[in-house]
Amino acid sequence: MRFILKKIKVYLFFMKKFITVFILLIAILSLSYYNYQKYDYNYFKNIRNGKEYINGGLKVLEIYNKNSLLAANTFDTLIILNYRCFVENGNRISVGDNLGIKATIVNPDTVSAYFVHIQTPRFWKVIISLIPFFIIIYFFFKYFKFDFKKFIFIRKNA
Amino acid sequence: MPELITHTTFAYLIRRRNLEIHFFILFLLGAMLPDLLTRPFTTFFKPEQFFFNASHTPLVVLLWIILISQFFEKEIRWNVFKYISLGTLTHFFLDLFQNGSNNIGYQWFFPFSEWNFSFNLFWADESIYIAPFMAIIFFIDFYFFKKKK
Repeated sequence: MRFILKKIKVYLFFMKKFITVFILLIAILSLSYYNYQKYDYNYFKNIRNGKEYINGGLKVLEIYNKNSLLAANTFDTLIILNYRCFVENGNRISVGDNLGIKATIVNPDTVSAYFVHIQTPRFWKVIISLIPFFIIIYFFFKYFKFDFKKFIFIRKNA
Repeated sequence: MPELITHTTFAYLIRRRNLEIHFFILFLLGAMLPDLLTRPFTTFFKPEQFFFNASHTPLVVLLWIILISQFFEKEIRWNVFKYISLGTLTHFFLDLFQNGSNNIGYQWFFPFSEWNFSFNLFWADESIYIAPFMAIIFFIDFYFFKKKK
């Protein structure tokens, strides 16, 4: 009898945890999906209302002339006017560069830049970010171990 | 986002000096958490980036922290939640100074409001120049703290 009660207790403990985790995951996935649905391509077209435009990761696709170029990121394809206004982090812009811009919106597909920043490749940022990640993961598993019976992390040397 | 060296070093420097090692590690993990939950995915699934970007908003990160803390001993669960949350706050604090990498910014009040705020002091890629200095400060602090102990 005691054995069965113990089994039930363990079962209820896991059920409680399972339900909590399940509810949290559903909430997270729902909010993520809501965000995904909301910010589609049309959203970005519609919010251009003459205000300031700050965006990064705009890859230069074509340079039309000394005043305008075509650039795009995942969500935006834009004609950037006045792109030589104030160029930071480089002397000249060429096709393939990634730009961050501060601009005013002229019409839904055109912006007039007043600040252009040439972004350095993201590769090195990712590489150096891996260093602290691996160090902390190492220390995490040095001071915690996973108990598969209880399905929790327990402290070593606690 | 500044890269993770800047995030973790900043958290390392402002930590409580007598913090127990287990919570200290969780505090540093919290300082990286919003980026760990999003960047690996947004890098590879660019068209779906806003699905994953939700996990870089304060509310969703809070849900993630509650979820993560479920996988720790009951006696320390509150402290796990507290220190990961505090670490995450340092992350958001640094992000506050950066230019938005997309046109909607960091969505501080997602899903309730689209109001966004940033000091726009530097671009996402520029923090790579700060990282070596942060690493040096880290090693100096680490050396003297260890010596003091």
